[in-house]
Amino acid sequence: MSEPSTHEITALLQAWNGGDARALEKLTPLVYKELYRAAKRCISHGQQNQTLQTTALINELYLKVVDLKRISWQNRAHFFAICAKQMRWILTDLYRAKQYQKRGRGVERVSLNDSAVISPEARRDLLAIDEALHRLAEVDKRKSEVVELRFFGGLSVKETAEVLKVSPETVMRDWKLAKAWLLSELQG
Amino acid sequence: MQPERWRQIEELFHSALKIEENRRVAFLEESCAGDEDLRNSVEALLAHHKEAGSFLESPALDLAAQGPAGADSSASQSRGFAEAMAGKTVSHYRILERLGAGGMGVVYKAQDTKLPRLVALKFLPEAFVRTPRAMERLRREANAASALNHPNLCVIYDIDQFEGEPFIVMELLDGRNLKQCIQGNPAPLDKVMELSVQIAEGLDAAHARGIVHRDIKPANIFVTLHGHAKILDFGLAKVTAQLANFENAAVSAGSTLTLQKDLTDTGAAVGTVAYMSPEQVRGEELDTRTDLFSFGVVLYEMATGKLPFDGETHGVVFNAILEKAPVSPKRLNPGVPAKLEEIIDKCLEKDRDLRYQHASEIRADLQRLRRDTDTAKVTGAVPNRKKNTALVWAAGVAITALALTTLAFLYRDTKKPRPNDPGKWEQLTFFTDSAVYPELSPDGRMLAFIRGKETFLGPGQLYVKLIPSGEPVQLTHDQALKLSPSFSPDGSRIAYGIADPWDIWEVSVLGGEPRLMLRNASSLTWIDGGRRLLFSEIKGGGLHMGIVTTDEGRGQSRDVYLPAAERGMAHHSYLSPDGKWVLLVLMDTFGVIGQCRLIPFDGKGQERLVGPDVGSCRSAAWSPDGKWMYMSTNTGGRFHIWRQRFPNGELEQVTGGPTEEEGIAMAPDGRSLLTSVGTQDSNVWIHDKSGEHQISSEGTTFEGTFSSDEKTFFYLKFSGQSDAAELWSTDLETGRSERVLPGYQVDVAFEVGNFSISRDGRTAAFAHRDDKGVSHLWLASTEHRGSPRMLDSPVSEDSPYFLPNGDLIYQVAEGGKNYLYTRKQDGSARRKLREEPILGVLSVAPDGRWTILDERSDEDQDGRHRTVAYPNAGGKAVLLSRTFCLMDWSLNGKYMRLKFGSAREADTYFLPVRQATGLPDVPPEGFGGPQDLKSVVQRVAANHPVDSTVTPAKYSYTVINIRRNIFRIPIP
Repeated sequence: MSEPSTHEITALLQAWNGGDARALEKLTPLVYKELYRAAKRCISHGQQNQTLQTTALINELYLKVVDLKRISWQNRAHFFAICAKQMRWILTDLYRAKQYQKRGRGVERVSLNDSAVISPEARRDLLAIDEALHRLAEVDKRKSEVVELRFFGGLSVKETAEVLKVSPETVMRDWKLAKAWLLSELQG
Repeated sequence: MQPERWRQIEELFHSALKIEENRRVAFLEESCAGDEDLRNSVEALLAHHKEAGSFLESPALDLAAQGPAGADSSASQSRGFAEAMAGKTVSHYRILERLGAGGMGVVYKAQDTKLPRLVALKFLPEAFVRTPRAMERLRREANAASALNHPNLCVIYDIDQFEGEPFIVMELLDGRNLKQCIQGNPAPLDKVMELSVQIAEGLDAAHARGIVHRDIKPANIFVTLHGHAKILDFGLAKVTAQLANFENAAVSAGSTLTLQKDLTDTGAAVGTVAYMSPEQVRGEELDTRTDLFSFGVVLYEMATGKLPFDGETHGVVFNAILEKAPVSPKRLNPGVPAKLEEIIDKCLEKDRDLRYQHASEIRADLQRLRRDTDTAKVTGAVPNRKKNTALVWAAGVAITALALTTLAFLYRDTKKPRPNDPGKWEQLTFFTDSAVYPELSPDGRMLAFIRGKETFLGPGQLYVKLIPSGEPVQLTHDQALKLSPSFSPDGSRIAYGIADPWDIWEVSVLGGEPRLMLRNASSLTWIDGGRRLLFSEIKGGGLHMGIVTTDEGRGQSRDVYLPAAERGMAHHSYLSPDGKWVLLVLMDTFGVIGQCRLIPFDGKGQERLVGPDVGSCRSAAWSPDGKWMYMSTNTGGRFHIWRQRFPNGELEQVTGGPTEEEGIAMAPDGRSLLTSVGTQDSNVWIHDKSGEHQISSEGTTFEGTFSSDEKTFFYLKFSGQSDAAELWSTDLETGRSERVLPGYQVDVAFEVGNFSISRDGRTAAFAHRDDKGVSHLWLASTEHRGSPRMLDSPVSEDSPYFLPNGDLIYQVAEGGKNYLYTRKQDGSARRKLREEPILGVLSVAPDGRWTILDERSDEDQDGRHRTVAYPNAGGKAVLLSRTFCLMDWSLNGKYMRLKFGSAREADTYFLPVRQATGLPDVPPEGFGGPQDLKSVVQRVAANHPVDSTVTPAKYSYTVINIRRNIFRIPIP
C-alpha cells in the first residue's frame, strides 16, 4: 500500500474522530482504493495459495493507517463497517468487470485481472447474492447489515455485534434467518 | 412488508429451530393456528435453513481468491443433507451425484439397480407429506402424471419415500432448462419456433388427459442437448402449491390492494409469479387454459428476452397480469414476425374465454408460421441478440466467458521480443475463418483440427488433412461444442470431446457416422501403448472435473488428479513420454485458467506449478525426449508458446509478437510443433452516398474521425508492440496517408476518446503514460510543426476532448475516482468542472455546450452505468440513458449517434438534435434501450460499429477480422 494515501486515511480518521463529519466522505474512496489494490493482489495470487483473509486484509489496512491509541473503539467498528461496504462494492464491481474490461473504464481504469476469465455462473452467484441482499434490506435492514459485515467484510460474530451495537446472540439469530431467507430468494 | 408479520415469522423460525425436527410440524400447526401463509413462510425458511450449511460462511473475497489449490471447504456452499446422500442406496436406486436444487427440492442422478437405466430422483421438502393424506394425494397425482408418456414431457417413473422424505423417480435428462437458456436475451427465432411447437405438443398431450400443469415457466421446461423441449413436473404443482408459493394466497377477487400487502410480505422471488394467469392470481378454479396463458408468457420471454408482466414486488406484477397490456414484442425485438406477436397476444388474453382454448390450436398456428417463415427465408438471426446467444443456446453457459479473452487480445500485448522467426513458419491450413486444436497422427502425417473460432471450446467441425498439401476433409456435421481431438494409436480413428454434457465421440479418419465412445469424459488420450486411456471426468456436482485413467472398457479406473475446489476443473492432461508425469490445464472455481500444473502420474512425488508464473496456460505438450514441457500461455496479452526444462528448469519464450499461438501438437521427431496462429486486423471505412470506402488497407486501424472540414480523416493504428497506437491521417481528396506524429505513441485505453482533433484541425490531443504509469495529456501539431508537448500533472489525466475555443475537457483520476476537468492548451486554468465523480468522458458537443459522461447510476444502489449530458457552463446533468450508451454528435451538431451496450455488439441509431437544447428529445427518465427511441433517422446494424459521423448518411466505421490457421513452427 502506498504511503501517502495511508497517511491521508490516518489523518482523515483523526479528523473524523475529532468531530469533522466531512472527513468520512473523503475517507471512503480512499478505503475503496486501498482495499481494491489489496483485493486485486489477493485474487491474482489466489491460485498460488497465498490467499489473504478478508479480515486480515482489513486489519492490515487498519493497523497501517490508525494509531490505535487515538481512535476510539466506536470508530474502529465504524471503520470496519465502511470496509465491509467497500468490499461489497469491490467484489460486485469485480464481477461486473466484464463491462469494465470492454470499455477500459471504471475507477481509475483498474481492471482487476485483465486476463481473467470469470465464469458467468460464479459472477451470477455473487451478483445474485448482492441483489437479494438489497431486497433483504427492504424487509429487514439490520439483517442485511449482518450479512454485509460477515460475508463481504469477513467480520466475526463478535466484531459484527460491536459494529451494530447488539449482542452476539442477536447477530447469530439474524445471521441464521438471513441465510435461510437469502437462500430461498436465490433458489426461488 | 408488514413489520409485524416479519417479526412473527422470525419468532416462529427461531422457536421452531429450538425444538426437535420431528416435532416442528405439530408446533407450527398449533402456533400458526390456521394461518397457512404464515406457516408456509416459516416452513420455507426452515427448509432452506436445513439446506444452508456453509452457504455464505466463507467471506466473499476468500471465495473469489480461491484457486484450485485452496483446499478449504469454503467452496462447498449449501450442501448439508445433499452431501450425506451421495453413494447411498434409496429403495432400489443408487445415488450417484447431486444434480441441483430448486424451490421444489433436491435432484440427484441415480442408477436404477433393477433396470439398466439412469434416473433422476427428486426429493421434495418433507413438509409435503405432513400427513398421510398429503402423501396419498401426492402419490395419486404423480401416478396420473406418470401415465403420460410423450417425447415432450419428462417421464415420471415412480414415487416413493425414503426415511420419511418423499421422492419422485423420473427420466434423466441432459441439457439445461429454458431459464438458463434465455437469461434476458431473445432466442434465435428458429429456436423459438422449434421449441414452442414442442412445448405446445407436450401441453396438448397432458391436457388431453385432463392434467393441468399450473406452474408452466422456463425453469420447468428443459432443453436437452439434442434440442428437445421437455416439460417437467406435470401434475405436481397442484399438490405442491401449498408450499410452492402463493398460488393459494387467499385473495379476494380483484382486490389488488390486499394483494399487494399480502404478497410483499411473503418470501419467494418475484420471478416465479410472473408466469401466473389472471385467474390464478385471483385464486379461481383453474383449468387447462391457465397453462396456455403461462405458455404465452414463456413464448414472449423467449422472443424478447423480457417478461411481459414485470415489477419490483409481487403486487406490481399481479396488477400487471390483471390489468395491463404488455409492451408489444416487436418493439422489444424488431425481428419478431407479426404472426408470432398475434399468437402471443392470443395466449395472453386476460379473459380465458377469449384465449386459445387448446394447446393444439397454438401448435397449429406456430407450425403454419414456421412453414411460412421457412419459405420466406426469414429465419436466422434476431437482430438485437447478443453475440454469444447462439453459443448459450447450443449448450454450455459457463463456457461463454472464454470469448472474453479476445478483448484482451485486442488491447494488450506482451513486451517480449519474438524469439522465433515467423519467416520460417510453414502454413498448413488456409481458412479465412479459424482452425484450432491441431493434433498430429502418431506417424506425423495427418493433421486433425477443429474448424471454429473458439480456441478453448465452441461450436465447430472436426477436420483431417494429410500434410502438407492434402485437401481438408470435414468429418462432423453437427452443432455440438467440440474440443481436444486425439488420434487412436493406430491412427485410424479420432476421439474428440463435446461439452455439456462432457462426452467423448469417435469417428474414423476416413469419415462415416461419429459414435459415442465414452459418457462423462473429456480430452481423452490413449496411453500405455493404447492399452489404457487418460481423460477428464466430472466428479460429483456439475462442475467438478478430475483426471482419471482406465482401461479401454473403462474398467480399472483410477483417479489421477482431483482439484480441491468443488467447481475446479482439470480440463486437459498431457502424459510425459516416460509415463511418469502429467501436465494439467486447470480452471478454478471462477472459471479462471491459471498456470499449468505438473503432477506425478502415480501420485508419488511432488506437484508443482510450471510455466510463466502469472500466466493462463491453456494447452501443453512434451518434447519426445521428455526434457521440455511446452505450454501455450497468456501472460497478460496474447497466448504464446513457452517451454520449460523438466521439471522446473529454465523458462524460454518460443513465440511472441502480434500473433497469438494456441494449441500444441508436437511432431514425432521433436523438431517442430504445430500450433494455431491467430492474427487480427481491423480497418477503418467510410460510408457515404456513393457506398463503402476502405481507408486503411493494412495493419490494425480503428477509431477513425473526420476533421471539421471533412477533408482529412484521422485514425489510430496499432504498432504491434503494446497497448499503444500511432496516429495516422488520410487526405480524403488525394488518398495520401501518413503518420501524423512519427515516433510518438497514443495510449489506447478506451472504446472512444483515445485522441481528439481541434476544430481547426491543427492540433491533436492524446494521453500517454510515463514510466511510472501516470498518464499525461499531450498536444501535437498535425502539420509536423514542432515537437509534441506534455501537460504536466501530478496525477493521471486522460481522455482529452477539444472545446470550440481550443480548451481541453478531460478526466482526472483522484482518490480512486475519475473527475471531469478542463484546462487551456498552455496547461493553465486547470480546474474541476464537476464535483460528482464520473466513470468516463464519451463526447463533447461541437458547440461546446454539453459533455456526455458515463457515470454510476446511484452511489448507494447497485452501481449500474448510466449516461448523462453535463452542461459545461455548470448546472445539473441531464439523464440521457439509464444504461451505458455511447453518444456523439454529428459534425454539424444536428444529429446524435447512439449505441447502447458496448463494443461491437450493438446497433447504432441516429436521432435528430433539437437546436434549442442541443440534445435529442429524451424522456425524463432517460432511454432504457433502443425500444425507447422514437425519432430514429437511421439505424446501422451491429457489424458496423460507427466511429464518427458527418451526417447519418456519411459516417466512418471499423471492420474487424480475426483468423486462425495451423502453422508448423521449427523448434530451436
